[in-house]
Amino acid sequence: MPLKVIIADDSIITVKKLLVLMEGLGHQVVATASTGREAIEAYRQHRPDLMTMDISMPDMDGMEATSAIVAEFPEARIVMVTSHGQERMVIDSLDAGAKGYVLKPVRIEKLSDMIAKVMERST
Amino acid sequence: MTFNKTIIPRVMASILGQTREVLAAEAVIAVDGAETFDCDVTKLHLHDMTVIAGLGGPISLLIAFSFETSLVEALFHRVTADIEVPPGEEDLYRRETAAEIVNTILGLCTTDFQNIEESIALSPPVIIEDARCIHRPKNAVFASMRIRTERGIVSVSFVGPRDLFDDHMNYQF
Repeated sequence: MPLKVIIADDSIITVKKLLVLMEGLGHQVVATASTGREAIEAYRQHRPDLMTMDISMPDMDGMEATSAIVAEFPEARIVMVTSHGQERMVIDSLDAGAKGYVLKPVRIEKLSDMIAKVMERST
Repeated sequence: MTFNKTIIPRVMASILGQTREVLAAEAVIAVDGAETFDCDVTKLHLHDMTVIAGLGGPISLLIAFSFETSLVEALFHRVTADIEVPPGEEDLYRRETAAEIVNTILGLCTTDFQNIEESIALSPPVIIEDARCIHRPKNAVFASMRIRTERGIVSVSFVGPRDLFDDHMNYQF
């Protein structure tokens, strides 16, 4: 089933690449955000089925934004999409409420697997 | 945590390895070799396009990747091959390509420091496009490395402790 997706990342290149991948998987990208604060606003406005979140972003990082969204919407499905692979950071992301973690460079198989796992766990 | 310059060789080795991996995976560009310079460097030269990001926590380094134009051009064409670049926005996408490559390299470098308990923060990359020479203040440590690829050179400069400089490599008195 097609999902409503929001992409939060401060890199135009990553946003466009994820958009192509999401559409290739049959999902609909309803909004994009380039800062943590924009991500929170976009979530409130669109209530997506899934959100991808970068960690390093201006004004509020992806970890803080994830905590804020999950505090307000406990059912939120947020997947971190980042190059930041330190194990400590992965643990911190999951503690913040993220449901999964995908390392860049993102490939369609990795993304598809993660989305399937996240959706399966939350149904 | 106190800055410890003995971390620099480990960060250099990590950056060299991850640069090789990321350039090969993202742009099919091979690294041909590298030269490193020790911590006695007294000045750093930044080329036309430089991407600066900071590694925080126990590493506490500002790291500047300064690209030769030929390498940026090759990266731009490979990285944007499967996305639409709006007419007139090519320069923006060139800068974004360089920033994203650096962000990916530094993010993956953190995987090489799994034994560090504390989180290693990574600041969003800042791009500067003016060639510049930065002289080392007495209380700073400079080091540099030059990575040669088949499409041009990227010089990587290391400045610590990172809080002596702002994100644009300006010394903060």
